[in-house]
Amino acid sequence: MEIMRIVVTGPVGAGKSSFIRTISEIEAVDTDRKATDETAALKTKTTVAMDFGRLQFGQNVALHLYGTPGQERFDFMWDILIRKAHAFVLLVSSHRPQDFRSARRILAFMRHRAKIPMLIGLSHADNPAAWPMEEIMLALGYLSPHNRPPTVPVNALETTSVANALAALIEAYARDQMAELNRLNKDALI
Amino acid sequence: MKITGYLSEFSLGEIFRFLAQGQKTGCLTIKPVDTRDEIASEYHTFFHHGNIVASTISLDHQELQRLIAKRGWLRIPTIQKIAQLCSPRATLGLCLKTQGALDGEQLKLLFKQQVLTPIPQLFSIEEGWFEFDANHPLPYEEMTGLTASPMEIALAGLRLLRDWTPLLDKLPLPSSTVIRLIHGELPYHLNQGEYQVWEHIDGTLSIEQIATHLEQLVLDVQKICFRFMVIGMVEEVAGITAVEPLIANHEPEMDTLPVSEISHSFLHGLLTFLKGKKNAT
Repeated sequence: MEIMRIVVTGPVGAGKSSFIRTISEIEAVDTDRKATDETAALKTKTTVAMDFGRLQFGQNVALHLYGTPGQERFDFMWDILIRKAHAFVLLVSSHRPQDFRSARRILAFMRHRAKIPMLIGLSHADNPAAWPMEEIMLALGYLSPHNRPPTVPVNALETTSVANALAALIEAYARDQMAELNRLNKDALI
Repeated sequence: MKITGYLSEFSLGEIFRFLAQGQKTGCLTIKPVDTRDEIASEYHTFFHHGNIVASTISLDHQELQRLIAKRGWLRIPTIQKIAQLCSPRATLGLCLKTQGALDGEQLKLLFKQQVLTPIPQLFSIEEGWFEFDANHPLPYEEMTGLTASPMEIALAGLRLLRDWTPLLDKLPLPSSTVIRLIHGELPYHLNQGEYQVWEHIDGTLSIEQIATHLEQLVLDVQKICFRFMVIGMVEEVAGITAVEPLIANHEPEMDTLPVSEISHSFLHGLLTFLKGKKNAT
């Protein structure tokens, strides 16, 4: 069985659980529990361990999706997840600038742990208070427009939108793989 | 482009870093929620390519003239007459200098009074609404022609800050490590406490560990690291907490899985499948 593993991460309330539930063909393994701390102001339940979803698209081929816990104190889980992942999606709520700090911290963690392809999904981009994409990228620390991961608006409740985001990530992965292959070929020629 | 929010969500230091690193031009307006007498109802700070060029508490375009008149250097009607001799896109300060009405030292004093002294005090505002309007025209009548780095002003403002309560949830976590983004010569003059922390930032020690090494309070090291983050000297990387995992029994045992390269046929099949999902709805 060939399996590709993708991690879906982001601050509390960015839509990670919804993203996985929307595209998963199985009932997503849901570890949401009643939120008891500051998260409770944002949502009544939060993911305490991780979400899991699966997409089998042929015989012996499947995509596995893993959602990180929402609360940062569970970040030991991110380490396990990211070390085994092929790529990851960072979901960020466009209308919650208070989350950009946390998103940036998660991003730094992920990039430090593994050099794997990524995609930034901006949720709630149609909210009147949403920041423009360019500004969010800057707030996340991407100063140059030429050196940024692919970024797409995402509605985590719509299959089309989630499929579109995943397709963009898979394309990024394929590009990375091709670039690595070219580099190896070049090295071999030298 | 307009962005808005509350300082409790996105602090002034973070706004300054955002505007400086993005080399933004426009007007940042802050309306404090605080109603103490010494606090104005709103503050406007003007940016040009990421640098601060002026600061006012009104938008009547006459504050610089009043400052000059108050110092007894020129009367307002005189300033206005001289200003007519210059291009409308010339800053008032440079106009008065080129016409011989003021000298460079006088402009520096004005800039200090207008920008360098009041803006660091804005960091003490506990809560306020902010808006950055990139379409706001530059107020040439309020500009001396001098500029200041928002990072340096943020550093000064955060050093002056006595009550850190509104920033507590924005500080880097004690378990986080910080990594240097600057190598070689430091772009800012650090005080002794900051320099000691800087010396211990090696990308492996957590903030907690640095505090232990220096025999300082963790909170004090967090404050210093926050200042470094705001001025773009370091980046926070979340650390692994020592909390026991809460993994439910039915979850896949990911830790035992190896990472293997994904085949081209897999990627092609998956893309076709996802595109089908996109088109199906």
